[in-house]
Amino acid sequence: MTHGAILADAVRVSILGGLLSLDRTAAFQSMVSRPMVTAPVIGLVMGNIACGLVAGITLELLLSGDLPVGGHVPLHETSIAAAVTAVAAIALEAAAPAGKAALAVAPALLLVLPAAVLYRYADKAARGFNERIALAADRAFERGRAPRLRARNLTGLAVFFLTASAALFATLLPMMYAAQAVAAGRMEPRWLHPALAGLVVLALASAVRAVETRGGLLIFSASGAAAAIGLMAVT
Amino acid sequence: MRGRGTLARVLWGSFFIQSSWSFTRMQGIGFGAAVSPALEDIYDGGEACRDALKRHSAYYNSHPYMGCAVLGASVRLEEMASLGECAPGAATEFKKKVMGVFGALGDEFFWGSLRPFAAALGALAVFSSGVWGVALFLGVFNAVHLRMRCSMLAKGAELGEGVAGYVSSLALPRWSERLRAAACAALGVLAALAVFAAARPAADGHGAGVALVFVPGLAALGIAVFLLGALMKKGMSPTSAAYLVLVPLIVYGVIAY
Repeated sequence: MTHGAILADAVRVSILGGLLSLDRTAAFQSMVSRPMVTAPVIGLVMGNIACGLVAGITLELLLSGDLPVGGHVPLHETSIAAAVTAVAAIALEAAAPAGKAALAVAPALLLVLPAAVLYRYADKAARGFNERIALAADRAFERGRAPRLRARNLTGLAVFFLTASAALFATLLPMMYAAQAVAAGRMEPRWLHPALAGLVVLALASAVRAVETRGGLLIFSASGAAAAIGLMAVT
Repeated sequence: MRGRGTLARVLWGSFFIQSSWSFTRMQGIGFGAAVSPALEDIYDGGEACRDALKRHSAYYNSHPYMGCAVLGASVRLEEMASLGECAPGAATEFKKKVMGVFGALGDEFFWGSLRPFAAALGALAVFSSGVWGVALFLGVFNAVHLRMRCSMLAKGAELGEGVAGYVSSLALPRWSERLRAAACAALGVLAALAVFAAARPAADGHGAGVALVFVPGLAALGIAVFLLGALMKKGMSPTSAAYLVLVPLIVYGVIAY
């Protein structure tokens, strides 16, 4: 890919990732910010929806236990999903003719995980900046005026969007160049098969842990065994 | 008095209850903004309206969807206060009493149970139908989420403080248990499908050969899930687990192939 094409992709993914991430905290919470949705959308934009679907499922399950409870700010799963999909798609394109979409997801995740620290920092910075909105409302009350609360509240949307998009853009460019350089000319590297299997196991373990309930492991094992018997019978 | 369509405007505002989320005030400003259309109607502007807005912009934090029950009850209590049927601070007191409990209920039900259940179903559907699995995930989650938002707001506006009894009658902890068990079952099926998909090409797609790869593969996956789950229970984060699992496997892959 040319420098211009990579830059254009980075801008597109940053803007779209920033918009989708609004759904996470700032508006709606309709789950379009979850990896299960974000990754396929970014995959579609990057021209590799299969890559987005694999990244979406694995990241959704992997991060399902990190909940926004109380004041805890969880990992920014939207930015992680957007970055992993974009990096994996670039790597697959560089390894033309494209290898199996799933294979690029595990190394892309390893490349993106250090950037997750910055995504969370940006999220916390947005929440810190929002204190100003509350303070401005307080000042208006003290002056005996009714602040335009609805308008003030919505300015938080811009804060969340700008911080998420900026953090994504700052990290995407170097990661996309790195992915392209590493993947160029390598067709369907078989050495990534064990890592893909590991990623699936890790995602399942994390999801089972997240929904831990009485007898949960037993239910998981029993349904897995029943499905296995059914699949064997069909084969 | 509250006009027609006011509750619809409060409902719309509830979707933005976290827009200006901050560490000290949390959802306070968002709550004030969401309830403001009703306060403007009830108090018809003026000083009483401003005082009510100030009360409702103070610290508040709960689950964003469960906030609809609190918003509805606040509208009802402010109406009663405007008619002198209760103290002006009754809504604020009610919010303080229920926000923690409603928050815990919502976190457990929506984030901890319904979302993983919808995700497990969606992941299963992606395996068989591709992108339709994403639509299933969104459909299952939002069908429940939107219905509960609307019903809790309406019940809150009708019952006032009595909305706590309505929320209790929903038996959310019991439903959480059921959804978690169903999610575990769906994940078990997903695990079997994933191993089967890997075993088929490895055994050239023939019956007995598939069984020879599939059965040990499934057993190994079960053991790995159990061991990793135990590590995560001890406090290992998903990112640490990713490094622990993926880096050695990539190194192994490079050496072995």
